[in-house]
Amino acid sequence: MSNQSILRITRELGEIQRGSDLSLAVACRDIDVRQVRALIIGPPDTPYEFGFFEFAVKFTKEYPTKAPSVTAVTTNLGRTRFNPNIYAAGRVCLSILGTWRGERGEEWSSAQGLESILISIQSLMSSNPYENEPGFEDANSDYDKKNQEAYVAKIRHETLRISVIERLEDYLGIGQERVPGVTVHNVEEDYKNGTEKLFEPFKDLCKRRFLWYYESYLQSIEREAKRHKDGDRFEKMPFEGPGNSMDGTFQYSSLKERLQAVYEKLNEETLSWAIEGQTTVQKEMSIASNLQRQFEQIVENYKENNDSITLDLELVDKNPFVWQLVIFGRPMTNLDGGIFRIMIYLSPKFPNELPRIKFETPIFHHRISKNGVLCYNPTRKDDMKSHIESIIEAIEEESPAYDPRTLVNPEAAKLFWGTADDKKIYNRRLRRSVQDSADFC
Amino acid sequence: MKVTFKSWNAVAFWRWDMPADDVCGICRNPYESTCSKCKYPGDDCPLLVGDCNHSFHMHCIFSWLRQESSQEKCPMCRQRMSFNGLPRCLIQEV
Repeated sequence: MSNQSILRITRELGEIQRGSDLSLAVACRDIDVRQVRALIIGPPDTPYEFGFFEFAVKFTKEYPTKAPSVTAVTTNLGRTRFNPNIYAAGRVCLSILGTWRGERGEEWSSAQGLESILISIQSLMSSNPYENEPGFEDANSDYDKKNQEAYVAKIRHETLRISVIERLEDYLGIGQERVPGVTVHNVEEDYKNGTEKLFEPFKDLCKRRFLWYYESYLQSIEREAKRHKDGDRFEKMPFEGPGNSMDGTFQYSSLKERLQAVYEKLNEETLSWAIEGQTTVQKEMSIASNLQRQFEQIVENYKENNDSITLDLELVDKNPFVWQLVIFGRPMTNLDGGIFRIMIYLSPKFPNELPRIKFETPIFHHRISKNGVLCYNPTRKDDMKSHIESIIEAIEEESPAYDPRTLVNPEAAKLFWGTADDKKIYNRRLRRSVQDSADFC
Repeated sequence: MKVTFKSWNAVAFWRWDMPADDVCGICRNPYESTCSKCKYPGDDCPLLVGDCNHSFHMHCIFSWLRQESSQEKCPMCRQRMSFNGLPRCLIQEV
């Protein structure tokens, strides 16, 4: 009887993890699959854009007959209500969860599941969350319009401050002492198991994504800083009550500094892998020989297949944790004639920490940020061959499906997905950077 | 040449008349396989098609309909669940 729920949860977790949706991630500890952690990446073109919102999902033995309970974890320790329906204390009001009176046909049913819950929560994170509050759906007076704007403005600030910057600062040990929360919900208690550390399954994912979206964060801070002076108080919304609101002041100047500090620290971390890696080589640890072997097999493999793309792969300083990949643009494509030097930094904790890819050769490409960070998604995370294949695929793909979560170069993406004329400009600029790449190397 | 059959074993293959990659909306197991509680597919764990044309493993749909919160509705389309016009209470559970 009890197996039933476990089988279904395991199946659902596997499907989400194997899926290609870049906006959701789920994880659980081996000891208890009924305690799931989920991460929702804030939808683009909303004030939640590229924020990291974490939720704890608890399933009972009666799942899927009964709905699981869902608690928001990203609440600034119980102080911040990120949405009319996502309370500071963690409560998520949603009719399919039975935490909100719903219309008929919106309640839980056993055909619902983890993914449909997460997508419903994601849909709460809209471009105008003010209208989520019951009674304010059609509120359109001048007073409401002013409120809507002020609400979006403060959510954007707190998304950047709490869900992105503070999360990353915690991960990287960039510490300022923080005031303990007012109401501390007991989510963590469910996870604490004696002396075990807190369950942080999304560390590496958030770091990788931070590097992808760094430019977007920075742009949005710079844009908003012009509109909101440092020290201006957040407007209070009519539906926000004591202990369940979003209070504070705009501090975009300090956010910018903190964002840049996180970025630098992340790059330091990437470079430190090389030194840590060398130590594991000296200690003859299995991760070192594993990567060495994978490297040799890939080189061998590309030597044999002459018809495939021309590339050159070598280790920097014979260190299996730093690979240099040189790709020669495939003839008859946009990349024809280009030579691209790409650094691949591997963590001693690979594959729990995924490699970080940096284009040393400047290139104007919608999947590559101005700083050279490539956005790609390997199919098999523990297999470096799959990583390299995905890297090549990401830069060669000529008509990818539109996915706003892959927009790591806002300028290039805008042209790439724009009008026919925009696309022409994009191609021209890409071609030019490809031609220049040969001189660069 | 004369061939004499001494004995023979017939081997048959059967499957539900359903699209091959379809899964039961409740347990998410393939129809070809059993619900999460059963071991052997086939008559031990039959499928049931409602009048709304949604199908489930019989055990799955009954455990849902036994819930008060289900209001005897189909989990997929939320119409009242009936089988050949008969409500659930008239269908005998195996």
